Amino acid sequence: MYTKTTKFRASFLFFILIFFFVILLVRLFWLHLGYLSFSRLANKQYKFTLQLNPRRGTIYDRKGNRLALSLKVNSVYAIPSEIKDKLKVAQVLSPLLNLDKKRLIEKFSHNSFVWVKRKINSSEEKAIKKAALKGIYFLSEEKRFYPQGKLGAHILGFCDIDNKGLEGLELFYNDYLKGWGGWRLGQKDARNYEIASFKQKSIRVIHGYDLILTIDIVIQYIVEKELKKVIEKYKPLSATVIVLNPQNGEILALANYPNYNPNSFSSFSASFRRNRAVVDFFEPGSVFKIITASAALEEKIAEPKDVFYCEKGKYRFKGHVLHDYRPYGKLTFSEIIEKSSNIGISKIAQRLGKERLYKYILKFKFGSLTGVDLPGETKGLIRPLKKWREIAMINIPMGQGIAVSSLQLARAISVIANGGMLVQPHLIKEIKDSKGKKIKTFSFSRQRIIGEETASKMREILQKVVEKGTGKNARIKGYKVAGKTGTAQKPSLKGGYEKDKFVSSFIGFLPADMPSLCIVVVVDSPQGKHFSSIVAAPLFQKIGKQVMEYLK
Amino acid sequence: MKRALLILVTAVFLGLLYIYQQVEPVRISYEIRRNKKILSELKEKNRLLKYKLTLLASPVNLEREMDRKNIELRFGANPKIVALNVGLKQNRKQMANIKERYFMKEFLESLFSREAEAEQK
Repeated sequence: MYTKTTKFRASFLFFILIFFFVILLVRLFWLHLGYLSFSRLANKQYKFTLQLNPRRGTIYDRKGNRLALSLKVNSVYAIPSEIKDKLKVAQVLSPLLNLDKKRLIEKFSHNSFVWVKRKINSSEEKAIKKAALKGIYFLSEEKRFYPQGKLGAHILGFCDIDNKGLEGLELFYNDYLKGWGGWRLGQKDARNYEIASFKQKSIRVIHGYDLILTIDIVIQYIVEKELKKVIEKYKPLSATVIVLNPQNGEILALANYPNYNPNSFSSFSASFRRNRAVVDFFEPGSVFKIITASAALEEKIAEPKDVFYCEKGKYRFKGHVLHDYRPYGKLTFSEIIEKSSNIGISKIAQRLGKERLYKYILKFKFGSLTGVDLPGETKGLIRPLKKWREIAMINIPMGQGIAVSSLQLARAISVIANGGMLVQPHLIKEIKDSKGKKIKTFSFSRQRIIGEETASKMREILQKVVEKGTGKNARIKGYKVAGKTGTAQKPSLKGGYEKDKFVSSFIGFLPADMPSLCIVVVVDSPQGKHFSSIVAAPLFQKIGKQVMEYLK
Repeated sequence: MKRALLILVTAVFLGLLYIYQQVEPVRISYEIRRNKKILSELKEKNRLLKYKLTLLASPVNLEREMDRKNIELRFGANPKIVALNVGLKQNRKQMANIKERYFMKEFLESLFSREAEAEQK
């Protein structure tokens, strides 16, 4: 039997329990619904946003050889608040990473995240891991590598520490190469491990697109190997070689001296990194006679067999005296180009008139950008017709008083080689995404500027230059070669021309009857010998021979 | 009593099923994460190997190796085309004979040894 006291006690206990349950229930509801910051705090603990970095696109040559690619490397960072003995850590890190100890201590004076050294090499990484320093961590980043070393350095350019293009194609096509970053909202457990979720919120990362170039690494190698030999022999200030397909303007190789290694670009001065083929201009000298002669043939003011009197090597013109290297009497139009007579070409130009000469200089697009896909291209220097002085009609026809780039010369000789079409020199063939799908293909301009017949006549004349004229050293056994030498005195800063400084150049193409290659060689201030026939023409010959054997 | 027991067993089973359903995706997610990590490491290794291959096959490196081993390359003389004295019909017959001879062997091998080969690989 329950007594009254027992009943009361039971009821009291029951109500106390109910009371506590109610409190717990209220607390439960409050935690779940009533106080929103709890859910925020919980979200903060197990949800996180992961930034997804895109991989920079790879650059390939026309045959699929890798020229530039990105690989993951580690960067070292520190959380100074976790470092107990900052001096000791600095002492350990300084020799391992080749960094200044004071600078490291200064970095460790911050409290939060600080970079110690970015993109370290594997030996540095091993050494730091072995040292096992507290507060020092690794972060994976992408670094740009150029497996071909110096080959094609001026074409490729390089990137900064954050993988942003700074020079060459890396800069020009940076928007295609860099890719687009994404993010993902993930969940993690108590150990900070990510839990894969099937309903992830994310923005997809788009990796950088790959560039397929017109460059052929073997041709590039041939060019750079032969150029190096000339550099060692004649020790010039600089030199440039361009190999171009005259039919479509594809640049097969482009090399400059001095050059640099894009893997360690910061250890080379700016003058080494300058792409002289595109950004430098110079007085072209006799190679420019091709333009004057083409204009004369196109305007039909002369024919290859027409005879001009070359004044026995000394010609007075409006108070100025023009000389030929050798005295010539009567020469045909064709022989004037073959023997590179300054007086002869001046007489042809006078018959043509300065208006028509100027018109053809502009038609060949001297004084304009070629539109090549490289940054910093120069237009050259062409004075407007109004500013032409009296002497212009004896110096411009032979390539003095104007300035052009090597690439402009390559484009000009292509016109003769391909039958009169002005092509746009270019380096890009196509752009593909990371899965190999074509993103963009390119079509480049072709514009007729001289007739087929004129180009054909010029090809014959230029062939004679190599067969029996000044370009004999450019002959290649088994191939018909056409070209023109040019040995131009360099303008002096004091006015007039330097007596002992020359730019030797040779521009030509082969096979002359069905050209598949245009080669431009420009050597600035060679030592010892300066004649183009001795310095530039043999280089053309060596490159042309090997490239033709390779392409066969 | 029996009904209560049945309900209890069902409730426990459903409860365990629910817990399994909650835990299993997490376990799988860890596995996915692990595999993804392995995949990305392999991809990176692949990229590194391709880079090393490019380095080794670069013309500069090949030339250096040739110099080191004193190998000289020359352009070949005019190419010679050698015509083999085997008629087209005769050639086809020979090929057919070879195929017949090896068909059974290849078939049996394909039945029994592929899996073992794959495991070995």
